Amino acid sequence: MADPTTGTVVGLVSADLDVTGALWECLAGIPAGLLVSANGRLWVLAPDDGSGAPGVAERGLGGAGPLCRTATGVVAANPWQVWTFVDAAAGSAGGTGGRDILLVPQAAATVGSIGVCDIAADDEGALMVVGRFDCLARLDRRHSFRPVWMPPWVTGFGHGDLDAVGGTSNLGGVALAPDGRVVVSAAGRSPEPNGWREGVVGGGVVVSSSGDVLATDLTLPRQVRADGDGYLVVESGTGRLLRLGTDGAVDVVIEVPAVLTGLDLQGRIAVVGWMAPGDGQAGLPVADGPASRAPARWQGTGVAVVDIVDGTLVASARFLGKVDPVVDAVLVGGGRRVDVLAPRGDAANRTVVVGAVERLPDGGTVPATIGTAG
Amino acid sequence: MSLSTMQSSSVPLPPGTASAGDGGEAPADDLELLASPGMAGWLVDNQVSLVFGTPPMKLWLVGVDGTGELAVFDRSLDKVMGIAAEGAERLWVATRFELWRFENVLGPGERTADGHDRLYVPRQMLPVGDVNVHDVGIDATGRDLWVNTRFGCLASTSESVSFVPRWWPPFLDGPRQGDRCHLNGLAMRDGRAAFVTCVSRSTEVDGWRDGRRDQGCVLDVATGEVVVTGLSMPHSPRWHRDDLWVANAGTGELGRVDVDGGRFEPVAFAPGFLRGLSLVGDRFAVVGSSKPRRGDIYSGLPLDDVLEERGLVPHLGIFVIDLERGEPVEWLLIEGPVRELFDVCALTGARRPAAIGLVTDEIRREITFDATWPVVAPLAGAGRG
Repeated sequence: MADPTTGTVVGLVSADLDVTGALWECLAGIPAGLLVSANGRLWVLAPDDGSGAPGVAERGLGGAGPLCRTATGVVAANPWQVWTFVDAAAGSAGGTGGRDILLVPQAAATVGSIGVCDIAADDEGALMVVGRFDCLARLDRRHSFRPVWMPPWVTGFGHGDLDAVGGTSNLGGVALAPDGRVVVSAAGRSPEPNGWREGVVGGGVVVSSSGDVLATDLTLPRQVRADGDGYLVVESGTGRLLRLGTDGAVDVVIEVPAVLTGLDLQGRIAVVGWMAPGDGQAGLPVADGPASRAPARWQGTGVAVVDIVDGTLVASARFLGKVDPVVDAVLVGGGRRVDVLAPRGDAANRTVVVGAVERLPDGGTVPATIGTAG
Repeated sequence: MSLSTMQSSSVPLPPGTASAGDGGEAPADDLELLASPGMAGWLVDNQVSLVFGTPPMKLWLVGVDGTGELAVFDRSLDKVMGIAAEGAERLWVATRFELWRFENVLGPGERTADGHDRLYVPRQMLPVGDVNVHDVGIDATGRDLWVNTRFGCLASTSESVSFVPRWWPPFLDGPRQGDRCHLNGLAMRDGRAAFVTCVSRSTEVDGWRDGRRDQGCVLDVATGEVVVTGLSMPHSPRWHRDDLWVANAGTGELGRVDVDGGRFEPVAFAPGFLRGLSLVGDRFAVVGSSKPRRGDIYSGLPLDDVLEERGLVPHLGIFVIDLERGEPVEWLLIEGPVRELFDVCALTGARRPAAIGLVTDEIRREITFDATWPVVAPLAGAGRG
């Protein structure tokens, strides 16, 4: 394993990125690109930027939010929209600048400031954790969202205060298991507005939508992901990545001296967002303990790459300077040359992907086959 | 009739605000609306309100307030092009690079605190790229169908690509990048694409520019045949109560097309480059008017000659045409540093519509959902859960 304490600094537009450890080798080996939602932007870390060398690009997203890999691309939220990106390179005969994966903005749903904390995806589309209204929800054609589940201890749709955070129980993550199980994390089980704050240390749970309790006594559990028969969950308030076994066992995969948020998996590699505790995290175990003694490389915010089998830190990418915390990270597998077009940016506006002809119902005069260009 | 004889009531836009009385979100660009004295009454009598856009940045919604005065509401959108209403609940708006779907979040009889009876929220934005969307239609299944002028085809959005081609004129060899014939207008009939307009039948990129004076035509989508030709930059074909109407923009004429006879029958003239058309009831048409400028693509047309002969100047705005009298009877003109208007849509049954804009934080705070949903239940039916 490369030494994750020495690195190279990549200078970017709005911040510099200090890359340590075997980040690029790890990504190249999957192969995958790493997307990080931080500082109001989407950061694209590709082991091959097209020249054969690693590269980092930053793309405007109108604000940071959770990310989710889908069958055709990525879903990314900002503070009021949910964007769908589709891989234009999939099935393409060219025109994507030599990229293996080129995520282009395909649609944006306006959801408003509902506090989307995490997103999972299945055949029905995005399944969102709606923090301010204490529910899981789908996108809706007419409304901001369509609630589909609420924890049994919650008695209403939060308190509707858009300036508050977390609703009553601060739902933090959702996982869709291959068997169809839906698993959710919550910081507390209070029915009262902001009630989760009172029992934040040790009051968190991971539950299934059918009522099973998978873990208790957690501190600010956030993203949860299916991993084999069990689950991985970020315990934000302790800086731990936990594995929840089918037998009820809770094991620590890795512990870092920082508040964690954001999680994705590809095989044995996990990416986890982290940040040094701020004033708002005072009183959390990680803030009062490990983070208070953390070396300089854990100051600020960044992404950690973890081998979940060995429980080791493979690499880290840390933002230098004053940068808003990482919100989420996702591995986009299937290639090394990965890029994203910023929504409403010049490149996206100039990129036109022409689909196959779909005839009008009455057929019209369209010939059977065509050649398209552009 | 000369516009110089018209009497107008001015609806000035106060400096630093964006609309007349109803609020808005961006500086008003020194725009001033001049309405005919009977405009508000006409909207009330016909139970409609109007939505239209003036590039580069404005979407306008015009209705009537509680006192019977004109209520003007504007929002910032980048180069509004085609507009289509899908019943009372939905509004589609094409912009420079996108297709927007607005949803009315008010229920029947519901009003906002400000008295608006429709509140359109931009619920979905579909990037289609720089394809120069013109007219927009919605088919019987609710699917969008629009004129992709740059590629010379009718197109629809898709979940995986910028657009899918649906139809193109038979004289073109397929949807290809490069505007050849300037396909621009789409008439829907019973939920199907029925007629299109194009400025010429050129097959060369930009070749349509040479045909602006008199090579415009209307095509039947089902057969691909030319219905009428010899028009000057025809736009906005609309099927309404068994008639096909077209704005022959380059002559400033609104007319009916004799589909069987292959003739364009002018019904009314208005001083401007006419495009954007919505028929209201049996008697009225609402048509948009742009101001040609020497040297642009809207100049050098027969309209220039007509305006000069009659001593008229072109206007930017909306004319209400009395189809029986064959002349404008009401109008809403826009004065200021804008010259174009592409489409206008009459919102049937709406008295005072509003829309949520994208500039201020109202887009974040306008949150609606169905709170009657049974909230404590297993997640059966939601995905695989």
